Amino acid sequence: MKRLLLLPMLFCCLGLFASDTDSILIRMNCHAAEMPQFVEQFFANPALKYYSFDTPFSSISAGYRHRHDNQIIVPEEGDGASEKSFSAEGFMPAGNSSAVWGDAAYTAGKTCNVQWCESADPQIIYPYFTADATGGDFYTESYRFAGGYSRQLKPFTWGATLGYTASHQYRNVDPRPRNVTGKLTLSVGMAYSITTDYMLGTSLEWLKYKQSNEIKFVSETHEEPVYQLTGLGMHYFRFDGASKISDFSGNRYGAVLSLYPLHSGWLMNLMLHRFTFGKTLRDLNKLPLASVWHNSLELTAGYKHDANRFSYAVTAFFDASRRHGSEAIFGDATSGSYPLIGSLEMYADNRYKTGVRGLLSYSQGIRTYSLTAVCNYSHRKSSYAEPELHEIVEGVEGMAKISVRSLLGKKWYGGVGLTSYHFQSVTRCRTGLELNLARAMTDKYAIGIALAASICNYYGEARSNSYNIQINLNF
Amino acid sequence: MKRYFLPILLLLSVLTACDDTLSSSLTRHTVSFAVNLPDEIEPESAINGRITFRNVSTGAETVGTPEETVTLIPGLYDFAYQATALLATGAETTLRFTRNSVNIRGDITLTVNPFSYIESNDLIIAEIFFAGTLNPSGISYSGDDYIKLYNNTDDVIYADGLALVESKFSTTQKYDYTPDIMDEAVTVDAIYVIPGSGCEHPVKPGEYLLLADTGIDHTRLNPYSFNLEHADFEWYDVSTSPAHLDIDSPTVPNLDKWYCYTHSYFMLHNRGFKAYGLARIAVEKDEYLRDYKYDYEYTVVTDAGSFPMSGTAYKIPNDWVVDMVNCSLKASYVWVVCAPMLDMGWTSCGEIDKDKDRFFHSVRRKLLYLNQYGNPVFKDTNNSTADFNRDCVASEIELAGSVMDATGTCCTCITYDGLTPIAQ
Repeated sequence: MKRLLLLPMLFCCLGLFASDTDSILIRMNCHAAEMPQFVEQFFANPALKYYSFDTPFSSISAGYRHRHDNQIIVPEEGDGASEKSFSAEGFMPAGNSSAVWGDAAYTAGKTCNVQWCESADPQIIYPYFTADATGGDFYTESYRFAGGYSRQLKPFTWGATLGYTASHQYRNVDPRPRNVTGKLTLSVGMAYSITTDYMLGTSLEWLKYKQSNEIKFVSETHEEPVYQLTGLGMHYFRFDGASKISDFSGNRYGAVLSLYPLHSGWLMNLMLHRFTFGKTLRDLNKLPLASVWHNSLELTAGYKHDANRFSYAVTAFFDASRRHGSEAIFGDATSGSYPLIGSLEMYADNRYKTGVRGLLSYSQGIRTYSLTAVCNYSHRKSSYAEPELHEIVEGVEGMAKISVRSLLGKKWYGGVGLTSYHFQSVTRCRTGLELNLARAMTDKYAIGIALAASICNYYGEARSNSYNIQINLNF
Repeated sequence: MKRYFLPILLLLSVLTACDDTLSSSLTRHTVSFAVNLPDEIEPESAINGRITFRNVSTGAETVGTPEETVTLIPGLYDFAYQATALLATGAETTLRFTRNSVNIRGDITLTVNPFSYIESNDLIIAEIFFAGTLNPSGISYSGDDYIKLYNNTDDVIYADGLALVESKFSTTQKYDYTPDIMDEAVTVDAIYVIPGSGCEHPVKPGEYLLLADTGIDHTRLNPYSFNLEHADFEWYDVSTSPAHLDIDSPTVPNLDKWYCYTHSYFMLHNRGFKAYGLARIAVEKDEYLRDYKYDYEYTVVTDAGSFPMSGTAYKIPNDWVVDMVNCSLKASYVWVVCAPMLDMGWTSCGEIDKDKDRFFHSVRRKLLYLNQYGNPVFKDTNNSTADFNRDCVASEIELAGSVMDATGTCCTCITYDGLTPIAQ
């Protein structure tokens, strides 16, 4: 039923978009440009999103993604995944002084052999997973809707985006987790034109996150203990096996300050976020087991030159985050409830990454050659207080991508990209290949296919292969 | 712009890259000890003292000696003390003390009042089979639960008058019961006494006494169960509920029912949330039922508010208690429902509430050694955690060679204590 509801919403979303005087292939080529992707983080401010593209472009896609690892590399990600998706997205400058954009997606898939994590969104709630020793495959369904609007009222531009993502994750054999998550995002932004070419923007973001996590066993003969993990292999010993229903609830607040040149000039983006969430055990009278605060900072500064023929950009970046988790201490469970007698900060995950990114793009008529490169140093230290545990991961990463995209005659558009990625300290090496091909059916519509494949080799025998295929209707 | 970028970057690097070590930021408290030895023990004769703190939240144990201090992070701890001491007679005794739920929130001096452990010279509980079995459809079957007593001494012991009791309070749910009589007595809700004039039911050294729920051949009702027709006694109740009638075995004599909370029939707690014990009640039945009632009050706190409650049970003075065994579950354990001098620990079948692995399993006392007559001598230190093997195949299943798990696998091994095989 939900899927049936999704389709009209998708088309409503797409109904916003009108055609443009440029042909579809030219608009595709414009939206595939490397420079907007390179400065994509600036468009997190919905006011600056207005300046991202000059032409409208929409697409409806059906895709399939597959990943296979020859062994478990990250336990909570399993050793493979496959996912079918149906999505639509679009951007349209509306009139002379406003823009509207939106996206909607439905995905359904399976993650294979997930271990030590029965919760959804492990990257959000780590390290406080609910887990058991069995694990297994996870089936996932998710829906996403988002839309935004921005308007220019010179010298100001304002904008807002609203999005909601819901997902449902489950398994049909014991242990049977059922995780329902919801993410509501709201962002409002403002930009001020300080010169004809420079915008000074600021935006505020809010994210509301919720997850309910319930595990059931229907076997008459066996039931696994459920653990409440607390980081670096530790678990809350007292409640091992005592609770099978937990809830996560959190809020993330963010502020962004940007200096953005519309064409060429110096750029700077500072993003600050604070995310706090708590985990409660519902079947123990909503026992507040753990709480987390996560502060992050992302600073990017550099220079970009955006021209018709020769474009380049170079930025230095510094990203840092600190995540600290506290475990509640409960007194004697007298009178049927656990009195909260204190809280101890037991887990910390502090990390930073600094480096430079560069883009070089050369257009020769209908053909564009580009080189994107990133080199950075990253450091991550995770700690647990008692017993004293530390895990440090650090190293230098390098990534280079070369790509060519071109109109192929009047009817065809094609692009190819080759990516090579190295992470020194764990000797991880990833090589990827992307292919895009589209054929214009009319001046307004094109059908395309996008293929991407990557091979990632880790130290030792571990290897991860993935591919992604997508069929698009572009207009 | 360029002027400010590098200094800002450097400043941010310094602010965020410094790696704090979390454990150094944790406050640690110092705990010292004041040990008040019993009058009969000279302070210098107490040796090999050992203290253990177990963090209730993390399960981590910190050990030390009472002469030194220990440092602990704030939290809730279970504390145990043990030492060896020489009595004036030259005999060696073990000193013990436990205190659960010690809240460490600052530097403290913990008062330790150890008691001298005296070896039992009466029957002990060797095994409790409370979980029951499953039938071939995987449905829980009850009625084949039992408790096995054992003569761990070198003398013949008469079982006449020995009472089997069940604790009123659950080890998985705690309230502040007032008045608190735990230091003086055990609160019970079932008392079944072995009949006899005093010399009718001798139990020789190394012999067992089997007390069953229903002394029938259970395989007729459940092919995955076993025969209990050879039980020495059964607890039988005349039920006032026609829908829940007990079965009175014609071949097994009944225990003398002094009191039971239920109006239907009594069975051991299927998940093992209670303590079971043996007592020699020193007064006559009528006098006991008249004078040893215990009225208590407690408060239930819920989201809807606090509700004062009251209850009535019977109390068995600690001096009359011969043996106590607390049963619980790791996932649900809250407290030990008797004084530490009777039992300092608890044992279990299964890990979690309603654990389906508990069926066919029992708790069995650990074998120490075989004496010169070949009789097993079992561990009895009044600490069920240390004295019992958990999750053992029930001894009656071993003896019958009957089904020992839900898949219908038959047991082929006979053991003394669930672990040590008996040489054929």
